[in-house]
Amino acid sequence: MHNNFNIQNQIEKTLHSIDDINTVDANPYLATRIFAALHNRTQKNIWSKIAIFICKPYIAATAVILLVILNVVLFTINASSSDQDFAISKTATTTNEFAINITSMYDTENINP
Amino acid sequence: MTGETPVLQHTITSKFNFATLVNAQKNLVYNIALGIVQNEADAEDITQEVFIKVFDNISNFREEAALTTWMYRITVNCALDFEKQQKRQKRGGLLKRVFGDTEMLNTADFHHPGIALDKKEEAAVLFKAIKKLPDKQRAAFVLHKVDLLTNNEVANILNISLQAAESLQVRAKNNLKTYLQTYYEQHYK
Repeated sequence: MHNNFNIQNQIEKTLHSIDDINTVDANPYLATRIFAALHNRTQKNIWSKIAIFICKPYIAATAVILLVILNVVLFTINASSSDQDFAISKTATTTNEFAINITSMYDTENINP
Repeated sequence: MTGETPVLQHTITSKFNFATLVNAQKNLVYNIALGIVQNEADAEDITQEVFIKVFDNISNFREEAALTTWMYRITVNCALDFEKQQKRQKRGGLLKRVFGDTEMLNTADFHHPGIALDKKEEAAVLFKAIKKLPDKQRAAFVLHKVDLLTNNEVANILNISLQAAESLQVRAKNNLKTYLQTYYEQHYK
């Protein structure tokens, strides 16, 4: 009981501890710092603005997603075209290897088409 | 002071100069930020950010409220955003939130420079408890008790009604009592 009374007392004391709080003066150089920051900001060139724009998380995420989509699309296109190329080159190799396109014996010595 | 840099010479409107505004308001903006984030270096960063935002957006200011009210609203929002960002960056933030009760005992003490020396210890405990309040309650309590603004000003800054501002403060005080009760029960064991 006595302890509880102490705690309630302490709580009230704590709640009133900021009653006569004083306003704090900011660092005297804060204004200079603000003006310097504004001054530097206005001097930013186009490249730093572009860099800041690219570095924004949603821009970077969008770029990555687009890159992945582009990769998938290119991979799909290449995969289908390389299948066709492979089939053509396989036919050509077989034709050359077994001389299927040569019909007579004289043709074997004929270098010119 | 007004002739030092081109920025200083830059007149935002025909009515006043930006340098005059900074010099007149920097202390109050700093105090509001300090009350919320409870760190002097962070409060300075926020003050700088606030004035940059004011500089950038002054053309959007519609004069529905006083310029100072608008600035203090930006300050409160910047300070609360800064806090959220800090919380996100902390490692193990989720675990700390789950075991939230121990946070109050473990965080470093903040000694507000405007508190009298004999009350510093109690005030440090109170500031720890203030940090645990929900955002709106914390803002209302800090603006009224730490920055000594009237309830009307608090209502205008938070863009709520006077009754809502008073209600926030009552709830903040009740929550503070609960936090302090827990703290002192653990402390007196």
